[in-house]
Amino acid sequence: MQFEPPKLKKHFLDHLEAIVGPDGYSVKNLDRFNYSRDSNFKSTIRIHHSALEPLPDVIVWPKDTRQLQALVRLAIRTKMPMIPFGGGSGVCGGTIAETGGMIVDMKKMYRLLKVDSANLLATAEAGIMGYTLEKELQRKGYTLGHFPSSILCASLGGYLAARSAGQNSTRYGKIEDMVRELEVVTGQGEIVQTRDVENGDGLDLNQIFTGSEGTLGFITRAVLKIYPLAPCQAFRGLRFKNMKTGIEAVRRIMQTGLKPSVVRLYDEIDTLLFMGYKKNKGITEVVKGLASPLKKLFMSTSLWGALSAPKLVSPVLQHLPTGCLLILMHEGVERLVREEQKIIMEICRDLGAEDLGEEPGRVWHEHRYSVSYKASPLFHSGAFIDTIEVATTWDKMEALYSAMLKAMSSHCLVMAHLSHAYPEGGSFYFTFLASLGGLKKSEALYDLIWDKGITACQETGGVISHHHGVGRLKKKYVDREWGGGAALYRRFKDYYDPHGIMNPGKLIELKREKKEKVA
Amino acid sequence: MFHLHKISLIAVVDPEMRVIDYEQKLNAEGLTSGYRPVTGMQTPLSACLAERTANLFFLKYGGIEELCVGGAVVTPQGVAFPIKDYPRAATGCDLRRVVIGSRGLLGQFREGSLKVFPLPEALVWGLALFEGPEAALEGVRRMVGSFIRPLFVRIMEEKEGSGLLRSLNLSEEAKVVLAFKLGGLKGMVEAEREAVMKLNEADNVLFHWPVRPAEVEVLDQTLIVREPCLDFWTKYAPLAGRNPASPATDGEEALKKYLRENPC
Ligand SMILES: Cc1cc2nc3c(=O)[nH]c(=O)nc-3n(C[C@H](O)[C@H](O)[C@H](O)COP(=O)(O)OP(=O)(O)OC[C@H]3O[C@@H](n4cnc5c(N)ncnc54)[C@H](O)[C@@H]3O)c2cc1C
Repeated sequence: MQFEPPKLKKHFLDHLEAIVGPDGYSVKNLDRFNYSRDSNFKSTIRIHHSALEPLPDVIVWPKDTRQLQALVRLAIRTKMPMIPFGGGSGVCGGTIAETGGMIVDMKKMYRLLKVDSANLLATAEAGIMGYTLEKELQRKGYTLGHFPSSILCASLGGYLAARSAGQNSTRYGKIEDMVRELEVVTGQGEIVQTRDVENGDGLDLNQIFTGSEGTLGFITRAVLKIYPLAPCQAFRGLRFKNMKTGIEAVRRIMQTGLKPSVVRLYDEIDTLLFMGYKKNKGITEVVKGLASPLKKLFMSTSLWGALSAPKLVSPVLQHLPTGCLLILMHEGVERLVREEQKIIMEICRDLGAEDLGEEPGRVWHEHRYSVSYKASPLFHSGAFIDTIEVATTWDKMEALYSAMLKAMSSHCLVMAHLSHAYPEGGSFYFTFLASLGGLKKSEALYDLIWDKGITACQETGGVISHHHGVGRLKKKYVDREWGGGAALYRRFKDYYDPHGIMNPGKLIELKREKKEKVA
Repeated sequence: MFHLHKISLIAVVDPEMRVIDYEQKLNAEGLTSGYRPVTGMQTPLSACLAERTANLFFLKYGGIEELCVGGAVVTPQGVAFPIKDYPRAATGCDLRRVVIGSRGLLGQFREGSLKVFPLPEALVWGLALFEGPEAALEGVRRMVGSFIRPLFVRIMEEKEGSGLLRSLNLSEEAKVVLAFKLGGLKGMVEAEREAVMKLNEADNVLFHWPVRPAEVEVLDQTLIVREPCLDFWTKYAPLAGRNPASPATDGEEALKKYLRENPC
């Protein structure tokens, strides 16, 4: 592969070195290549065909807020685009250096600074990895309660910037519910402190920066709500006849005011794949008989054959007699966990669910982080994969599910699960697989599937992302999503990033985005 | 305007409606707003949204910013835009939450979509007698840390606490009384009652569970209806792991100034 050399002047590098030292940055091609993408699948398709994403000119690793502030000031002076980089686990191309520039990897700002057990708050630097943060808290008897599947490869700053939601969000909330205070170095080069304004008046700066995807500034530090570790955990698996009854059960559960920590409802194909886990004993013979061949198909070279005719294959798979699996996890004081389980079981039984016992829930828990890493082998079988996570209110859930399934399934194999639930609605997590052709063909098919899915979502009144964010991937849909509300974000952008250096090309189309890069 | 989506448990309302009227409309349908603004039930919803008025029942139902799931907004420059109803999104900053509490600087709600809840099947008052304020605070921390979410909690020191006990004809002397009100499904409230006692078992905390209608009336009237509760949030925020109202940061003031000079 041929790499264009970085377009950096000597005096720029001298300034940079004066700020972060000789080990604090890199212009090596290998580093520039490695930082040229996050975990989004379009980049993976491109790399599979040896096509590069735009390369950053330089990677920088600041150690503290002051260094970061000095870097921002340098970038303002030299009109150098800056792209915050956490774990690089984002799946929307949020860290791609669209116009070159400086990738700022936050991982050297990794300390857990304080655990306040009286007020149940923790303060940490934004570069700390999710898993390390949770492990440190658990060692002290606490939990953040934030368990995204990417906990092993995502950072706290990334959680906040991309508005992450963990698997146990029904109980502990999502990242925006956990954040109390932030420290941010804005694109103006200022250090801004936010405060907790909930239940009192004032501008909620926490909610301006949470979700801003690095387009307003760098989140450097956060104060977060924590909880004592739950003394008891319980699991359950239930099987519903179809998605309709399953969705109704989840709605009723959530509207009783109960908060089981995990509620996940899988559609027929997703159920089948889930049931393929070797350790899964709580499954019926019918499902056992089907699960294994399907899993083999997904992992085999004959997958390409199946994917070349999704129009024929999809309807067959969508009507498999597997039923729809509901996974539940309960946490808390034992007496409450028992009561919660009892009430939920009554709701599910009333809707004709079959009780599969603890096993499916336990198996899910054991594999809860591994399932998302199954994508790479698929590329070698001639397929590409991606996920679309959307949300809406209960009255539109079924329509949203059917519309997206219909819109996408003539181009790919598609399955879904209801991944997060609330009293007023929930989110669907669609996984699609399609056949990999040449670069142009694959990219076109990939874009087409996304376009079909997102258009169906918007037409049904859903929101286009529940927890992955927007990045480069979905930005063209954001104006429609926000309507006139985009004016508010644009004001924040004008104020916090007046020089247009912060993560260009992400979140929303900005007319004044400059394509030039000078340093 | 008042429209109820019973499947999603969302009410679409004219923000000029007073909270008391809104609550009554919901009660007639077996529902509640879960909202009791500290400024009183006569307050219009528009003021609550503009000022992010604290909710006396925040532990169970959350603040107004959590109750609002969408609506229609008009900015100071007159740009009107809808915010569709949704439970959660990761599409940039949350426009609902930035408009709420901005005192109109970022916009005003012309229509509000708010979560509503089934009226609690059971309501139970609990009084726990503690040796001192720290012990009582620890009692609340245990409760909240275990996800037992009363509608309301109140810590009363010696004079006030003893007065309350006397009005209920209870003879105990207590340094500090923790009063709380549990609400929800019958089975769940009973389980919470047992769990609260178990959590405080080791400290020999004495509990009373007043159930007679007259006692409940005294507690409701004294602690909820008549409570002058404007400073409520300052006192009780830490109980929910929240910071009591702190002054605006320099960053916040600077953004406000910019928005005043450059309205949206
Ligand atoms: C296998 C897998 C499973 C996943 N599962 C989940 C899941 O369950 N739930 C979920 O919510 N997401 C999930 N994701 C998506 C992803 O992990 C999240 O979006 C995560 O929050 C990104 O964190 P990160 O540190 O990797 O951010 P990055 O990918 O490095 O960055 C994401 C965005 O945030 C910006 N950013 C990063 N750090 C900062 C900072 N300090 N200040 C300002 N901006 C910053 C970047 O510029 C970029 O725009 C998954 C991804 C993968 C690959």
